[in-house]
Amino acid sequence: MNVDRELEQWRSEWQRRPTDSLDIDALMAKTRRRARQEKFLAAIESLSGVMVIAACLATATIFQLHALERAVFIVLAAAAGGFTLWAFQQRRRYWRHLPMDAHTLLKLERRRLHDRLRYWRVSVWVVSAIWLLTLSAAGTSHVLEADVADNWLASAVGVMIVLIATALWFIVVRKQTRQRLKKLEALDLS
Amino acid sequence: MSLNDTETRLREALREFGPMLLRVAMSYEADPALREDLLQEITFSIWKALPSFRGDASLKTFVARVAHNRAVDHVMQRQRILDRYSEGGDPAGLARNPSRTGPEQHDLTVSIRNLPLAYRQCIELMLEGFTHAEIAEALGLAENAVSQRLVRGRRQLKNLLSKEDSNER
Repeated sequence: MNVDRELEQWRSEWQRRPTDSLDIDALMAKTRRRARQEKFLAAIESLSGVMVIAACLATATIFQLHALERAVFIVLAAAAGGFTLWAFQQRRRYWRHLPMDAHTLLKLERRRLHDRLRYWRVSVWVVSAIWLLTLSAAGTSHVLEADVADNWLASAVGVMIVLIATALWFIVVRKQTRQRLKKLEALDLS
Repeated sequence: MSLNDTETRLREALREFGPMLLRVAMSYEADPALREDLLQEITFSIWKALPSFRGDASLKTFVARVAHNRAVDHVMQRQRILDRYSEGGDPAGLARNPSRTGPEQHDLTVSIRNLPLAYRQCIELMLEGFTHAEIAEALGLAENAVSQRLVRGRRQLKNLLSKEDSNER
């Protein structure tokens, strides 16, 4: 039989690496503690979600509100519910046992970075659209000399501040993402 | 699987494959303190993944797969952390650079750590005694892709080891 001496030599040398630092009890104890922390965090997250939903529904039903305001609170409750469920599912979803090589993992990381960039780009567009709408509402109510003209103007200023902050953050994220993508590419090729 | 079952199986897995896990951590992280953290992270990942173990592959393959997935993530995370503190730098060197540890005694470990990630995974599994088919199963690759990576990886490892030899002389 053809014996691969080089491989056998490497194999025996590799498997002789000192493993004295392996403390199974300490690893188990830390894992237990970490699992408890994760459970606690998941419980806090779910509880906060339930509290937000309850607060939105209570506000929508208990207080005397305009139909539009009531609708806003119901939509907020639904959004909070959706987010809580999504966060719960994300926690439960586990992928580390799936067969993936380094290229696939790097590809996933690249996709995560692209998604993050897309998220902030869309955020800039959405906030810009809201700002334009608010600005046009302020302009229209000013022309019509409506009572709410000042409120719309204040809203437009507020949204503009949010827009500037979002745009600046987008620029930072874009720069970071480009650098990280370049480095990931180097990792993949190395 | 109940919490107690998971704990019992994790303890068994650590008893049986602990040295292998330590070697996986060794092949991805040169810094002893960070290596300890990585080993802890690997253990936690196995604990989380164990309930999904259906016995399709052997437990050893399953454990090795989780360990390698977590270790590659560790390399990417380390890059993220260093990005916060410094601009630029050599990313490929980051995954390999053993400079933080000072003198390293184990040439084979250093050379393995200097291999590209894709080759490193295959070579490390091969040295652990996995067959080509098991490596393919662990990494979700075709067997011929594994063979190709092993041939190239071995060639690079040989070069790295011979460089180390000539540096010593």
